[in-house]
Amino acid sequence: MRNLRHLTGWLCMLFTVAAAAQTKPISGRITDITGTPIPNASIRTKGASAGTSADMTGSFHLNVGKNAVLIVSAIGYETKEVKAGSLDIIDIQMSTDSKSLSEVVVTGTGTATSRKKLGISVETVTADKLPAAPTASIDQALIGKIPGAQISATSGNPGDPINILLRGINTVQGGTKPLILMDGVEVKAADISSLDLSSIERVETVQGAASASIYGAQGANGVIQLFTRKGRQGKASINFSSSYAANSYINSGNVHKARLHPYLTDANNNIIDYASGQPLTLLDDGTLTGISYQFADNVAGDQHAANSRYGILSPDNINNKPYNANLKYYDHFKQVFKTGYSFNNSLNISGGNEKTDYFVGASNSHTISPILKNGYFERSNLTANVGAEVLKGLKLRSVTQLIYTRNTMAPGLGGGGDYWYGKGQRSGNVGAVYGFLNTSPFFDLTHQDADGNYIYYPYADFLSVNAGNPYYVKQYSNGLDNKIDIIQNFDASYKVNHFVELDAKYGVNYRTENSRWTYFNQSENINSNSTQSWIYYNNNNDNLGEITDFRYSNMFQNILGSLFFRTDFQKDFKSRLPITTSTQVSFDYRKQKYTEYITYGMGVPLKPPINMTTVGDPNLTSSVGVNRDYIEPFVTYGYLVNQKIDFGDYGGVTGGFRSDWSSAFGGGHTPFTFPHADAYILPSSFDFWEKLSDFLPTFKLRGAYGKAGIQPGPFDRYPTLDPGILGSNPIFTNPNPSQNPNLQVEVSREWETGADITLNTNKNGAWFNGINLSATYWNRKSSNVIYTVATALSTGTPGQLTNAIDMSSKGFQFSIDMPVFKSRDFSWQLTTNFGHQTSMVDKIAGKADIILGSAAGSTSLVLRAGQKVGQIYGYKAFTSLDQRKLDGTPYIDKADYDKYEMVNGKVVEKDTRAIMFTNETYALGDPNPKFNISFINSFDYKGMLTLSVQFDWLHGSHLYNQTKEWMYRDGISGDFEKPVTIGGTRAAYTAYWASAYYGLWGSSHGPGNNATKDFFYEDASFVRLRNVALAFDLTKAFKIKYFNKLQLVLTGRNIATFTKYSGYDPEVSSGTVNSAWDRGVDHSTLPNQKSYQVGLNVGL
Amino acid sequence: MKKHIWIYIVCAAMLGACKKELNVGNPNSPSIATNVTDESGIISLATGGIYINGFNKGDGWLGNSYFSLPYGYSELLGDMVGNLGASNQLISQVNVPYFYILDDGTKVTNSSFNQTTLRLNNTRAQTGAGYNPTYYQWLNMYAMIYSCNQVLSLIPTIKLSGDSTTKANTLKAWCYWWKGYAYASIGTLYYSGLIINTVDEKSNHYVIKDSILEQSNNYFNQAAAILSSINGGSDYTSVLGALIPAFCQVGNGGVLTPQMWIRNINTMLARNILLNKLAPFVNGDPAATIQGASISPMTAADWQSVLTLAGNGIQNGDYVFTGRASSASGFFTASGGTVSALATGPNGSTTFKVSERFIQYFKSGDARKDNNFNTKTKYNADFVSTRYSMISGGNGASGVYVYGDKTPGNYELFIAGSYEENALMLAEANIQLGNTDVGLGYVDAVRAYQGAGIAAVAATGLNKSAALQELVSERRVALAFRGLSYYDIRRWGWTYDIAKGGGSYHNITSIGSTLNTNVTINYNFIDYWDIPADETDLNPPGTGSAPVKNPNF
Repeated sequence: MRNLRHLTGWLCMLFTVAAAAQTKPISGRITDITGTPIPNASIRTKGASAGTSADMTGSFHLNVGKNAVLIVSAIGYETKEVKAGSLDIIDIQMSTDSKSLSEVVVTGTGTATSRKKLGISVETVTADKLPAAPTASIDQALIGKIPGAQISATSGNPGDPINILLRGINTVQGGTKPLILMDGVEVKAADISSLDLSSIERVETVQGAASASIYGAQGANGVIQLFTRKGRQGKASINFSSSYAANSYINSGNVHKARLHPYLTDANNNIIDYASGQPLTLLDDGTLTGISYQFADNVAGDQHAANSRYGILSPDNINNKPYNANLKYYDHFKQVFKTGYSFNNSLNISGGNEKTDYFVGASNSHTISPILKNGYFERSNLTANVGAEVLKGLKLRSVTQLIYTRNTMAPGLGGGGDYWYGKGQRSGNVGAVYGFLNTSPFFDLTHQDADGNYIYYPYADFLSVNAGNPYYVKQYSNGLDNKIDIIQNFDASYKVNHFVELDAKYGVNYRTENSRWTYFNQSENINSNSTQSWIYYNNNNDNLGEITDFRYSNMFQNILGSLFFRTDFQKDFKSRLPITTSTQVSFDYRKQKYTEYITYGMGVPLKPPINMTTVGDPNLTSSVGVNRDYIEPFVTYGYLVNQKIDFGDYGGVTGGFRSDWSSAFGGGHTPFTFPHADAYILPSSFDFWEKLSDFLPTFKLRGAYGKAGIQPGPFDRYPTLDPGILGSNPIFTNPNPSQNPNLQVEVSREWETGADITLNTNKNGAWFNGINLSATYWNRKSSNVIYTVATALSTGTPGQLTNAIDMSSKGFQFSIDMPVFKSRDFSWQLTTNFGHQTSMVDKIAGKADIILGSAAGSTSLVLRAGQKVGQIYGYKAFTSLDQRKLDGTPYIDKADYDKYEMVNGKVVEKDTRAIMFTNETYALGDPNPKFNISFINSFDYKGMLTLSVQFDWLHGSHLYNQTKEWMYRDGISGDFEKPVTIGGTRAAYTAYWASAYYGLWGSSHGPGNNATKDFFYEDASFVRLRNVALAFDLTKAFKIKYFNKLQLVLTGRNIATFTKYSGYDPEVSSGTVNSAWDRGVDHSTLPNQKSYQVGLNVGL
Repeated sequence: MKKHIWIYIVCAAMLGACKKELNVGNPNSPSIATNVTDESGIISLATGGIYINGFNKGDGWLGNSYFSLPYGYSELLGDMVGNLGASNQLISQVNVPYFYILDDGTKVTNSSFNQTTLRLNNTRAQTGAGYNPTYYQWLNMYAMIYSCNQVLSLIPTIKLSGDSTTKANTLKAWCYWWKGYAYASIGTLYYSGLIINTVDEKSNHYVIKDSILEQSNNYFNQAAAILSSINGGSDYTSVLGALIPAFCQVGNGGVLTPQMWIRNINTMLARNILLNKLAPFVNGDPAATIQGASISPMTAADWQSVLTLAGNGIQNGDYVFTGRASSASGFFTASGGTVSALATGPNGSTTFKVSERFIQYFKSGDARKDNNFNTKTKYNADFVSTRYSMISGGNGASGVYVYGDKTPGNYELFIAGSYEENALMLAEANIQLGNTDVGLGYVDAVRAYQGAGIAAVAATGLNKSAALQELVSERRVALAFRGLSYYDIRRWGWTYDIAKGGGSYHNITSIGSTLNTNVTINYNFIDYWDIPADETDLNPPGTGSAPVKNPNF
């Protein structure tokens, strides 16, 4: 009540002042610090809500009172107060500031809104804050930049998509990929990574249902909106950038293969044949035979010959012999992981006049893969953004991006193809990585047979049975993937009158992609013939090779029509209340058609030409065929009603709803409605704040609630049979899982509440003079989450898609932006972005656990009510002799305690030297991080020398090191050379380490083989020096004619990682890209790249 | 506001126009409503429901069909193949014997063997991880039963051309035959099962395997009854000719006449009896007895029934139900779709390695051994170590049976009964009933049929034990990789605990560098498997149900 009186009093005073003032005209020009005009900057006098805006040349005219103070604001610039005094003409320079509350955002609000007047949380990053990642991709550049978001590069294969998780995991099958918008229009066919970084001006992100509710049935995963650069009025400006980077794979865990071995040797340390005693020599086909462990396993109840797989469990075998005689040690990582290179070039020209503006850019990025340098990934972009005011009030804009991407990496070594690849959510095929990881180190991958060919399958009886050689893959295969993306957006906006503005947008986004995988004829390879193994996609019949063509197309259209109705009570209705309103009614229509067509030809000739007309496999009745012909239509549309009411600078409310129809849900007839409401209040605008305003000039509280959805799969609701062909007859089969005609959209309801604060900590001081803080807490619940719920097998189908799951998540995020130090010549700015989030499964219909198949093979993932999403389940190593079963009974009889001892915190059986593991599974934990935080420091000396340093810290994340577990099978892992003390003797016992792969309580091998165990579940927290860039601009140091910028940049990316994780990179994940649950497994992925880059930026 | 009225009109028109667009359907897939409306539609469903739902879907874990995975378990447990390298689907564990005793008396005990591993891994999570052997046969056979019930329910809704009664009856016989087959497969492997006889029926009333086998017999008999009413005209052959894939209508596969089909049914009815009773023959003793088994011994009446049924069973030259790999669009592949394919090739790189205990049953001079196996490489893997590799396509000896061929279409897979199986049932029943030489005559006939080239054993004065030894050897050798090997050594008592009268004697192993030729093996397997957790967790037994875990183990 008291506040209201204050407000009323304040309002009265304002009215009086405005009415009584005498005015005079003032004109001027608004520019940025480079002198470029800022069109549309808003200018008003302090204390008045009305004002004017600058025209295309940055010029403005305004009537002001005597001694008026002008408040100038513009998108992306720090709001500036200037005393007009007695001046008639005034030129005002504005400096950029993305974090200030004066910034204007559009994402999540529908209409351009000052950050000060937002009830929701919107995160923004301007282009100058995006680092020049070696692959020049936007998604890479966004890592660490968005507070709250977990954006991670889970693979180091060039061109692979990255994982984006905004707020919580709210779906299972839908994945976590957010909605991507470019200039207001959804981009669904092209990948965010394909867009040209140099053409992007700004990125806005809204992260949850509360803020993305206006996007309705597709908004629940949040929205990332990109804004294309625009030309500015004035003479044409030309920018050119060029960079060169050297890239190599990270190996922060020092992954290597054991340099010592336990095999049977003679007196000269030759590894010998167990039967003949003769030193082993490589056979003609590159394999070995006759190898044996030194000792057989003679433990009672568990006996194994020395020359068989389980000889590794013999307690007598020790990894203590160097490879210094007949068989040598080969460092496979050195043989396979090379240094790759990237070249980036971009050129853009922009400019404009009073009525038009243009920006035209071209860029090219070329990356040679570090894996055997087997191919390259190249992307070329052409961007044009042209705007014009064709009639008074009618503005037209066209934004075009043409993208050509080419990938020549071989299948298995990074090449793109396979089912669904055209959707952009699949990584390239790096299947050959597993093979070389699991090749015994006494094989030379570069070994060539008598004909000069590489060996595919170098195995030695029971060892190296999962081997595979990337050199062979490179020799016998070839990948070529060509992709063209077209993104065209048109926007027409028309200001009908003072109240009404109409806006129409049309976006078309088309992708066509063709990939060819050629597997050459391998029938002259000695090893392929003798081991009957070869590389193939379809042709597993013989080693005559094949050609497989993958054709993808994706057409997406988005039409968005909006009507805005705005009022200003003071101006329009002569009211005393400082109320402004904005009403939006929009119609939004999206249509997509995705197709895949896969054909093959089997049996390729030994000599060129190798193409579809020369294929022929004498063993097959038909050598060519169609593997897949798939079409996926999708239509959704809806309307949005949104009402925003602001009360001066004091606060405001927004409310509205969106209704959506979709071809994927509701039987096609029922729309789903997503309501939303938000409000904000700025206590710092009230006069009672006066005393605080010196220290706390801005203090805003906000809160929002909204619902948003995630669409079911496009065909999930259509009951069908699976088609097929048997011989030449069509056949129908019952699908698994079966569809569900009654599927509903997945709904996410979210609350968020937060504050935006500006603190003047040391107003005129050099150190820490201010802090911008923005913090948000959010809490969301998802219901109707779709997944296949298992049904009893006797029903004829093991599962049905059902709106089965309730989930919830919550989190907290903040960003702190502060100048650490500022003097005339030097500044140091620190930005800190923090996010914490956690997601739970609350309820599963039918209550049975949902068993998930991880991309990592045997790692067990389960969805269980009351547990976190993505938990990994497995067996635990005993940590005490009193280890108990789930029913409370002890595993070990007290009488037997002396048979065991503690080794490295785990119980080991002395006789077998084996670690003891439970035979009941436990949730090993949630692999998702407890929090992620990024520290971004920027140093600037006279604008001439700049240094930026970004550290990313992911805390509490875990990875299941499946890569390592596989390398334990044959004792290949480097761990096997580490000695342990058992029974008073210190040695690198194979049985100790191998038990981690093989053992479970009650059996030394078998059910425990490669089972998921906590032994391999590792803390994958890390601090990474993500980016360090030192730039020197010669034009700032010396006067150089014609040049605006002549900047030399040295950049290091991912150059240091601090982690306890023992795999090569704690950031990887082998799960499907953007998988909701398969996020914590490292299984034979490619690690990220460490890059050193030198670049030159030229501005004319 | 009037001037903006056009906006509302446009919006309204757009909403109206859009609604029609929403039913995009699934242009990639057929549906019952649009596609199973005519003769070709129901034939497509009746074919796919068997060959894909019944024999392919869900089996991609190991090889790619019912004949690589569930058949694989039968051949693993039958000690016809082995593996130590791969743990997938528990193939290196499911067949581990409790202990074995080498020639020098060394006893090797496995603390984790068939019984422990099979039970420990029968959880839904282990199914998800790919380690639950009990899952697959149950999955496939109930999917097959569902498809048959579905087709049976749709037959009355379809207008069939020509002699529609004959066509409908042919389709019904097809469904009954496969239901008989599916219940037989369930009742022969699992301790209990569910009877689901109409589409979308659900049941939690588990019944003991004998009741399941009764269902099997019942449906086989219904199929036979229908077939005896069909005269085999073109309406019959056109339907059956479309149901059986053309690429399987080669060799012993083809469009069966109703009489041939009835004979196939009789063989299966005989098999249902034979495989689900004990006929102990432990350590050469025809009078051996087994305690604690889930099945009772064959009686003279049982042998007489087998004799009668097999006497009316498959004859030499009859078409039978076979499968072949097609280079494309098949229901399994030539390189991985069968146990045979997974065992064909150099033993270092094949998924399955042919077992010493298979090869030891070839009599010396058997042309089949020389034509199919070499000893170029040795596979060292403890108990499953082997000197033998199987040669794709054999060595080309004329008229000699070939066990494996990875060239698409060459290998003939037997889905149900075969001439050899029927003849050997006649042989065994005759020997057991005292007609030793009549029985041995059938053994000789099978050897001749497969080109073994060894001397006849009939009328050579063999006693019952020796005659049974011939029969046992020939069944192991002639019926290899046909999904029967486990059931044979089970009913002969070999898989039962030595302490309960079982065990397998005089076996060969090639562990290490010494060859043992008199190894005693105590497999001690669970005889009838527990029901997979994927059924019992989601469909717990109702009151009055039979046990879902074999109570005898």
